Order: sequence, then C-alpha cells, then structure tokens
Amino acid sequence: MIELLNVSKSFGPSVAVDDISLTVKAAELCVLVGTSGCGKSTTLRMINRLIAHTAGQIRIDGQAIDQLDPHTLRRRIGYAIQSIGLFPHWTVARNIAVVPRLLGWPAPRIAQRVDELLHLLDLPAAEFAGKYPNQLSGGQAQRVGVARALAGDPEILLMDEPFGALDPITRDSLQNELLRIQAQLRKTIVFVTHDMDEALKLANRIVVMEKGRIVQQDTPQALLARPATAFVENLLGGQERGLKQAGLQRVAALMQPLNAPGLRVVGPALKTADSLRQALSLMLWQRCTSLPVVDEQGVQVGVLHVDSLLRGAPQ
Amino acid sequence: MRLRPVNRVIPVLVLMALALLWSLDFVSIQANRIVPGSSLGLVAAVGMRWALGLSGVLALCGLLAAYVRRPPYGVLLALLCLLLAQLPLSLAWVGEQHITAELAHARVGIGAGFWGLLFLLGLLSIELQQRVRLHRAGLLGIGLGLLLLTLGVAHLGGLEPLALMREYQSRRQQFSSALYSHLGLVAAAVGVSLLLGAGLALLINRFPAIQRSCMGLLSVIQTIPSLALFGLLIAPLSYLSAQFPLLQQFGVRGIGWAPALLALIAYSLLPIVRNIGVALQAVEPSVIDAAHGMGMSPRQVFFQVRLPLALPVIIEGVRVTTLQAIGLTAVAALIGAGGFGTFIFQGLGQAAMDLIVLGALPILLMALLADSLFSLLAAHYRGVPAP
Amino acid sequence: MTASHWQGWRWPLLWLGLLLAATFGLPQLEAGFRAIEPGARAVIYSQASFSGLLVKHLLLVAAAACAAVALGVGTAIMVSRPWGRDFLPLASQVASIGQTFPPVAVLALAVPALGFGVLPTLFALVLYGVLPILRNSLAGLHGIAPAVLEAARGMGMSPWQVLWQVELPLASAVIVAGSRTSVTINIATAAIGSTIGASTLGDPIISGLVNGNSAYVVQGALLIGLLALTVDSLFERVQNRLPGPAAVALG
Repeated sequence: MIELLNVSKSFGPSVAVDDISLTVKAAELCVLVGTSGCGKSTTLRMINRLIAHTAGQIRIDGQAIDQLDPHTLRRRIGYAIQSIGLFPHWTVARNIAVVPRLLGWPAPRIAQRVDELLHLLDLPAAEFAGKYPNQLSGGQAQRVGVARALAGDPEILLMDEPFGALDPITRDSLQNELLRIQAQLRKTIVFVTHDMDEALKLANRIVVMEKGRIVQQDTPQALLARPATAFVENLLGGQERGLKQAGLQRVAALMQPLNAPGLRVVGPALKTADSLRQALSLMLWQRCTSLPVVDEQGVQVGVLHVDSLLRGAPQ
Repeated sequence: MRLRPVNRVIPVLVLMALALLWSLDFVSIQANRIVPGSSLGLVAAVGMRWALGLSGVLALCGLLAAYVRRPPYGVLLALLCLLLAQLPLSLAWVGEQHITAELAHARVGIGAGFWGLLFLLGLLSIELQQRVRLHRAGLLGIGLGLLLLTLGVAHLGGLEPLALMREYQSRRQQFSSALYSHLGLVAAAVGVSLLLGAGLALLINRFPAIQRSCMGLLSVIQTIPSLALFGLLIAPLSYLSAQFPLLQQFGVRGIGWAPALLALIAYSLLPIVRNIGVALQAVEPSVIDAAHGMGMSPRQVFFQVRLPLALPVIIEGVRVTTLQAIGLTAVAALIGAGGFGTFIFQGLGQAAMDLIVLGALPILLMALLADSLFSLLAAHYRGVPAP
Repeated sequence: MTASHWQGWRWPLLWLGLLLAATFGLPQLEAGFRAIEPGARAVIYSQASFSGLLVKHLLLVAAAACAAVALGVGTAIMVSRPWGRDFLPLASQVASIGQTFPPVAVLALAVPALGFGVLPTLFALVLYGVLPILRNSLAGLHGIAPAVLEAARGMGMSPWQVLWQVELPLASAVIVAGSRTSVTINIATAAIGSTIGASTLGDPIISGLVNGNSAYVVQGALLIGLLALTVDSLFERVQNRLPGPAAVALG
C-alpha cells in the first residue's frame, strides 16, 4: 500500500505538486492522468525518491520512505519509463538481471528468474536473451523494460508513460499484456499517462491531475458518469464520452441470453467479452438492430438488441 | 567472359603495380656508403624468372577479380599473402646475386619500384579486407606476419647486404636507445595527460563555467605548430634550470626531454579532455534515470553504466593522442629529446637516405601498431553489435 | 556593417595585427633578445628577412592547400558518383589509415624519393594534406539526407546541378573543417620543411638550434605560432558563416 499525505514539491518558487493526498491499495492499478506538466511524473518519481518531496509524507506499507535508504527502497520498487532506458552495453538477459544482481541473488536463481520473465513477456529466451537493446524493435524493447521492472519481484511497480512512444497496435497489445500480467501477479501499480483511453482501459482507479493538484479520483465508470470539472470532462473527450463509457462495458452484461443452447453462428457475431462500443460499431457497420452473441467456442449464447444498448439494461 | 569487369578496383591497382614495377628501379647497388649507386630494374635485379613469376601472380589476381562472376576473394587474399611474403625474400635474393665477397662494403638500396609495389600491395590488402569482411585483427595479423618474416630473414643474415641493415648494424646501440626513449616519451605523455585530462574533465563537469576558457586555451595550444612550441619552451626552461640547481640534477634543461615532454602533454590534453567530456555527457539521460530508478548507488551508476558506455570514446581519444605523440616525439629530436627522429634529422644532415628510412620506418610501424591496437580495444569495449 | 559583424573579425584581426607587428618589429627588439643570449654575436636572425620567410611559408602552404583541396574534393566527388562507387571503400579506408602516419615521417620519406628542396616539401604537404580533406568531403557528401537528393532529382535537376547546387553547398561546412585541419598540420609541417631545404619560417628555429642561439629559436617560434593562430581564426570565421552540420543532418 502506498500513501501520500499532503505531499508537495516545489522547484524554487514554482510548485510542481501542490498538497496532494492519495492512497493506492495493494494489488490496485492506479493511473495518474493529466496534461503534460501537471505534476503526474513528479508525483511518481517522488514515490521511489528519484525526486525528494518538500512537504508532507509518503508511506509504503505504513513506513515513511524518508526513513529508508533510497537505494534499498528503489530495489524494492519496479520502475519502467517511456524511453525505456535499457543499458545499451548489456544483453537483454543482463539488463533484466540488474536488480536481482543489486539484491545479491545467487547466479542460478537470477538465471531462472530471467528465463521466467522472458517467458512471461512472450520473448523466447533462446532468441532474445543474448540480444543487445539496439537489435530490438520498440515493442520488444518495452517488453524487456517491463520484464526488468518486474525482475526483483517487487510489490510495487511504477510506470511512467511506458507505452507512450509505441505505435497504436503495439501499444494496444502491450496494454493487454499488462492486464494479463496484473491479473496473474497482482502487483500494486502506479501508472502515469496523458492518454485517457489508456487510463480507462487499464485502471482500477483513475487520478486526474491538473496544475499539481488532484482534481478527481474515482473508478473509470464513476469518472465517466460524473466528471467533477470541465477539465475532466474535456479529458474524457466531451461528446465522445458515451462511446468511451460503452467501451468499458461488456456485451455479456446487456445481452438477452438464449434459454436453450443455440447453434454455431456463421457471419457477423459478437463475443461475450466484446465491449459495447465494439457492438455498436458492428451494428452501424452491418446496418442492423440486433446481433447474435457467441461464446469462446463460437456457439450462440444470446442476442444483443440496440434498444438494450440505448437503455443500458437488458430488454 | 564478359567485357565489363566485375571488380574494377583490384585490376586497376594490379595494373598500377605492374606499371611501377616494370618502369621504376627495383633496387640500386652502391659500392660503399658515399658513392652514388647504379640502379637496377626488375629483371636486372631479380632475374627474368622471378620477374615473370611475380608479374604473373599479380596479373592472375587482376584477372580473377575482373572476370570471374563471383571473384574468389579468399584465393586472392592467399595470393596477396604470397606476394607480400616474397618481398623480403626478393631482397635477400638480390643480395645473393649481386653482392659478392670481394665487394665487402657494397650495399643494396631499396628502389622506388619496390616501395611502389609495397604501397600498392597495401592498398590491395585494404580492398580485399573489405571484400572478405576480414576482421581488422586479421589485417593486423597479416602485417605482423610480414614483419616477423622480414625480421626472420634478417636474423638469418639474408638482408645483410641491404643498406638499411648496414646503417642499423653500425648503430644497434643507438637504435635500441632511440626505441626506448621514443616509447618512453610517448607513454609518459599519454599517461600523464590521461591523468591530468581526467581531472580537468571532471573539473569542467563540476564547474561548467570554466569549459569555454579551458577548451579555448587547449585548442589554441593545439593550433601552435610543434616546432614553435618546442622552441618557445627552450628559453624559459633553461632559465628555470639555471635558477634551480635541483631541477638541473633531474635533467631538466632547455633542450632534451623536459621541453619535449611538457609540449607533448600540452598537445595531448585537448583530445583527451574533449573525448572524456563528450563520452561522459553523451550517455543518454534516460539510461541514467533508469539506473537510479533501479536502485543503483551513484558509485554503481558511474562504474557499471556511465564509464563502460563512455569507455570506447575515451579509448578513441587515447588512440588519437598516442598517434599524435608518436609523430611529435619524432619532431622533438630536433631539441635533443632522442627517439627515432634523431636518425631522420641525422640522415637529412648527412644526406644519408637509408638513415632517414631507418628513422622513419619504425615510426610508421609504431603508428600503425598503436592505431590497430587501440581500434581493436575500442571495438572490444564497444561490444554492442551494429543494429 | 553592424557591430556583431565586426565581432567575428576580432580574433583574426588581432592575430593578424600581432603577426605583422612581429614580422616587422622583431628586429627592433634587439635589446630584449640580447637578454636571452648575452654571449651571442648576433641576436636577430638576419640570413633572410622575416617578411620574406613569411611570404615563402604562406605560398608553400597555400599552394599545397589548393592542390590538396582539388585532389581531395575531386576524389571524394568521383568515388561518390555511381560510376566511381567501386572505389569508395578503398578511398575512405586510405583516408583514415593514411592519417595514422605522422606528417614528419611522410616529409622525411619524401627526401629519398625526390631529393632536397621545395619540391619534396610541397609533395609531402599535398600528400598528407589531402587525407583530412578527402575524409571530411566523403563524410560531408555521405551525410546529406537521401530525401534531399531525392527531392532535388524529383524537381528535375541534372546530376551536375544536384552536385553544384545541393551536395557541395550542404557539404561545404564539413569540407572547410577538413581544410582547416589540413592547413593547420601543413603550417607545422612546412616549418619542419626547413630541415629538408625549403625556405620557411622554420629557418630561424633550425638555425638557432644548430648554433645554440635561443634568440633565433624564439623569433621563429613566435612568428610561426602567430601565423598558425591567424590562419586558424580566419578559418573559424569562415566556418561560422557556412551552414552548420545541423543543416546537413536535418537536410
């Protein structure tokens, strides 16, 4: 658990972070979102003491971080950044092994851990372990960056726009990867981004920051339903809010289930795990008012009507 | 057979080599050190069979490169090694043929044709190295092999009649002391300026305000011609040594090693400081940020990340400095600092061409060797393959 | 002319002024040099006038520089055209390996080949001076963004127009930097040319060293140092007015 109590940071006369309080519960994925210069990165970097806060208190599992040795603290916290910062003179395996080595793990355990992480991030060890960072694509390098952040098996993971420099398709697949890993490992993650869609997709809780202050913090659903200020509404995309909200709900929630198991559906159909946004798009594209819904095996399990979509409840 | 050659570089070089070989003097024979020698062409020097064999192998190289669809560069490299290996042997052969027992003081001078052949074979080996993608260490190996072969032939007495060898024989002692003083001056200058330069670079890192004036001063020094700087140091140093007898005891005088070493260090500081500064600053900030974020201590960040990433550039600075120092030490012979430059300027004074070559050749070899070694070292520490 | 325009000329003019003052004023300083060499018969080098030596030195370096620029830039252009590209790897390797040879060794080896005098000095200066120019010209021509050349061709420029209007102007800063290196080295090497019979500002130094007359040495050294600084600061001035390396990189 991470707690920030009335934390401020000023650089000379300018105040970057102004009296914020925030609690990130264990196993929560908390996303700090805001425009550039709003203090979200500064907040993140104060948690592992890359920047020292000037007022207030930051506690990890109840312990104030200024009581801890900064290097020991950082070795306990995973850290991944946008420009990745892989060490160009070391191989992928050596890069991932940085923190375990700093922690003084025995060599066999490190080797095992590196293999494990390469496997977890879908980078076959035989192919990637011996490569150097300049031989990787952007997406591969960022996977190594995430693996490196996870290497010391930290409870807490800090991620500063880690997917910011990637193309949309790679970014999307890495976001899915992160959700999969998080479902498996249940770390406490603080994630910084300026992209509200990314925040909505990943977060358990979104913290919107503006000019060094927290303007609103809530679940993605609640945030969409009740933006506190015009700034938050603007970040949420104004008129596209409806679509974004639809993007957070699954087809399974609104479909009308079949009483008896149906047949395999040929042609356009929705999956139970698709979002309502995808459902609406498919209806618009097919110019129809209802679509069959199928399960993982392609067997029809229900029907979704456009009316349910509009009312927000099954028909 | 097709008309347009596959590789045009090798045939052109081969044609130039053949032209030089057959038009210029291969060697000259002098009755003694004073009288001008008589020049011998290729055939007169080594005989028809050797001349035709040599030319034949050269021509074969050209033809193979030009008219085989995928030129067998490996074979060409082997032929090239053969051509290089015959160089010292041909000189030994010339001696065997032309210097008889009654001409005790007669000597063989190496002619322009021989030097031209050596030069063009050098160009051929550079071209071939790139074609076969031979590692630079391979080229260094071939060079060292040729050097060892030459030394071996010389050791067996095969090169005894060479004028170059005669000059060497008559000043063996001086040769080895020149070697030691040359190497000593270069090593001392590079070592001291590496220490001073590292300190200065760190100082500039700490106080960026002094960067402009420091670098400005160092580049002004670098601009001043060596002969002038050596000369300008003579007067103040002789004044100092006259004032302080202690300095005199250590051998500090207006001429000699003291002004040479001072000037060498002054020249060496610029490339060293510049490269260390650039190297340490060029490390990407995100890498350093990540290193801190992983929990490395400042010491670990410096020794595990900053320094290893900077090392190749620093070694490049040391390479440049060493090459520069080797050349400048040669000039320093003019102010009595010793080294191989002594032979060059003695030779120039006595119009003894072979003595000039005896001084210049080791300098070239030292420069080539230092260049190869430091390049290999930098490549080793770079370690990272090209993307 | 604006004040800032004159600012750029401050250093070249200062060094030039000092150089001219020294050339014509040194003989006036006999008393000062007497302090360095109290015992010597003469303390001012008088076998030739300083101005004559300065002109000879400059002419030698200038002739070598012209030849080296023509040769170096010409070779670089040739090996970067489609019909000469086969020779590109060789040329760039020779340019970098050649520079490992110390200039004084090249100068010394010119004597067995060509004898004593101005000619071998000039030969050595050209031979050695070509290398930095060739290397930088290759780098400059190679460093131009392909998109720029593509655009030039796309607008209908002929190969010669591309060369003269796009490639050479964009590479000019790097080529001038190479010429600066070349000329700096050659001013120093020309001074050593005194030992092989070329008459240059090195004469007083060599003569002073041979006769043990430090005053001669100081006079020669001062003049050569000032000459080098004058020429170098002029180059710097020229370089500042050319498109920088950034322009090449960005295209």
